[in-house]
Amino acid sequence: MSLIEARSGDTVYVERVELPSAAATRLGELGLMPGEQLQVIRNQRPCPLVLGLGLSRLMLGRDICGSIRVLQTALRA
Amino acid sequence: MSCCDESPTSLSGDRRVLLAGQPNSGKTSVFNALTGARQRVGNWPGVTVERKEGRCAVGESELVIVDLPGSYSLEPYSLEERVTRDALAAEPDAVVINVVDATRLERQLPLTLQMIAAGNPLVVALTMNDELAAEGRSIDAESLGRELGAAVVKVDGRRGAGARELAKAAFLATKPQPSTATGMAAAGSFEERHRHSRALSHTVMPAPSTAGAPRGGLAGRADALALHPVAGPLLFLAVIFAMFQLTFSLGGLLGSLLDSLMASLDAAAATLTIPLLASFVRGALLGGVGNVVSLVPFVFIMFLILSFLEDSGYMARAAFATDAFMHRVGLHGKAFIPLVMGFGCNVPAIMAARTLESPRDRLRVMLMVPFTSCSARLPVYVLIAGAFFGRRAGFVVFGLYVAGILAGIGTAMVSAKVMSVGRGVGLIMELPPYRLPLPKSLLLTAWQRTKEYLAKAGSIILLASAFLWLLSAMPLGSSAADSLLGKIGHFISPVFAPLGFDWRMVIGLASGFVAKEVVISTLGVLAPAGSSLSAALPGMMGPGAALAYLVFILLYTPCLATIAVMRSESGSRKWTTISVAWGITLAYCSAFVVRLAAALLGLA
Repeated sequence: MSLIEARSGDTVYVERVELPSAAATRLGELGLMPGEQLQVIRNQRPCPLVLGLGLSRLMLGRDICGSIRVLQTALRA
Repeated sequence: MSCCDESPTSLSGDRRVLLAGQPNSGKTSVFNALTGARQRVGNWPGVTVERKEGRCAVGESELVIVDLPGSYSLEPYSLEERVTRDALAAEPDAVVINVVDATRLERQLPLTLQMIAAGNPLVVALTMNDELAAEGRSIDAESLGRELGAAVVKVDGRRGAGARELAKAAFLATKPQPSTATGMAAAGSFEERHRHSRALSHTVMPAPSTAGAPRGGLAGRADALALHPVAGPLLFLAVIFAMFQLTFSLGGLLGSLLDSLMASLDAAAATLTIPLLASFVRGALLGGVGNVVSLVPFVFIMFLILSFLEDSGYMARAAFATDAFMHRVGLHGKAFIPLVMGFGCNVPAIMAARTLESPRDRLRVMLMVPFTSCSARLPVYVLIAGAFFGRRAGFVVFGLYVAGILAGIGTAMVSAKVMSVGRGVGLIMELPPYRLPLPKSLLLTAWQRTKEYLAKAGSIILLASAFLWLLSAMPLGSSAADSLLGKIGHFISPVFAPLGFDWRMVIGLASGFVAKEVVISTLGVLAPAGSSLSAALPGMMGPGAALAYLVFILLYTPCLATIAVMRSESGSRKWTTISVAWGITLAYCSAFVVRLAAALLGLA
């Protein structure tokens, strides 16, 4: 599924990033790359998603999240 | 103030230091801790990225510290990263102090590895150690130093602890001698650097982080509000409203003190025995420069509040709150930050657009920024609205700010059509933790920016005022209307007749092209002597024309400095010209409509 489909409280693994290379590199520099575990802290329309990545927090626009494929790893809270 | 009073005998001569690190790593605090108030702000050659330089004494010698822009990597992805990469390459012998946020070690080490590969002498400054300790963890700095082959010093930039050790380590730094594994990763690919960084951070920092441990407490509750789809944007509006209220009330309080000082100086100048000298002092110095200097409190407080919003971590939340709205004009939330900064000054606001990844987004934001009312336009509003609209002046000023924002949004919509903008990449941004900014750091930043404003008053505004005064005094003994300036004004004024502007108002607009504060100084030079400018204004224009004048001032080109920055940041003469022409056209048409509406309402 894509990251945009994950709900607040979900924990997911990044499967692949289907974005232009510049954006994918920037995400990688921020730590978001295939194999990483993410916590979806907030996913509320129409706002960007707030993600937990280790101890850092990322804000990602909804369009971008639609291009990140993830695997769900835990039951929804 | 120097950070170091020790006298190590081995230290001699000055040494160049480049301070580098990722955004929000505490770099500015470390820079302030090392250099104190011994700072100088300039620009990097060829670009307008801010370049701060400071000095720090180490024994008999000095470190000359250059603060590089925050960068995530040395890949030339953004303008800041290009500046950082080029600075390291241009000075291979300069020591690099790499500021690393200890709480995000794993994410910060890839940049450190790139710096090892760059080959400059290296010292790592670990910040935010107290936050890490609050989580019950700590970094083994010695082991990390062995792996990286460089000194690792723990620093508390906010309190200055460790700054002395850091300065000494920087003075003695040599080229890094990393372990074999670290050296290979440093020279390797992006993925290798990240893999090695993870392994390294787990080695030197036991008990690795759990993914997405929620931030609880006050910060968690603040984010529940700031990041709420409805409450977030409302909070943002409240914050902006509070910023204006504070600027007006505190600025007004301090400004009135300066006003009375100016009045006493004017009274003293009136007693000068040489009439021409008295006219110059009262017209050019006090009427021109003095009026601009008396607005310093407004400017300082606006910059102070903007620095607080940046340093506290709220600005990133503002980007979140405005993202959905900005999406409608084909931009994203990060594009809103330059617009908020534009309320302080359009020049750094246009520079702030460089944080946007897409060149087209950067250009579109640069076109929007001139419509956000900067602190130089505020006093013009306060003066003219105060002179004509009495108790309703506050509404008029607020209306002008709103009109400016609407003009910016309109510009974004038009530019989206003209540039056939599709959906951009979107928002990618770190959400920094909330931090209580240090008053010292806020005051230093606000003062640095205010100093630039004062320098402008002492140079370009003084020159413009003196030049205008000279034109208004020639030929000697003539009235202002018969002077050279009057003749020029009368020549141009027919173009502005449909807007109801007389020749003095037109000269005000023409001189305001240099800087908006000059509008006040020009009107001050041209107003009849002996009365205050606000008392003289009703004799120069009616309320309808005053309203149209305010709208014109809001919308036309902010100042020469903004044009120059736009030219260098956009790299395009064409778009800079379009921006200026668009601003003047919009200003003329809007002022005409306002003038017409005012006439219909009986305000003319």
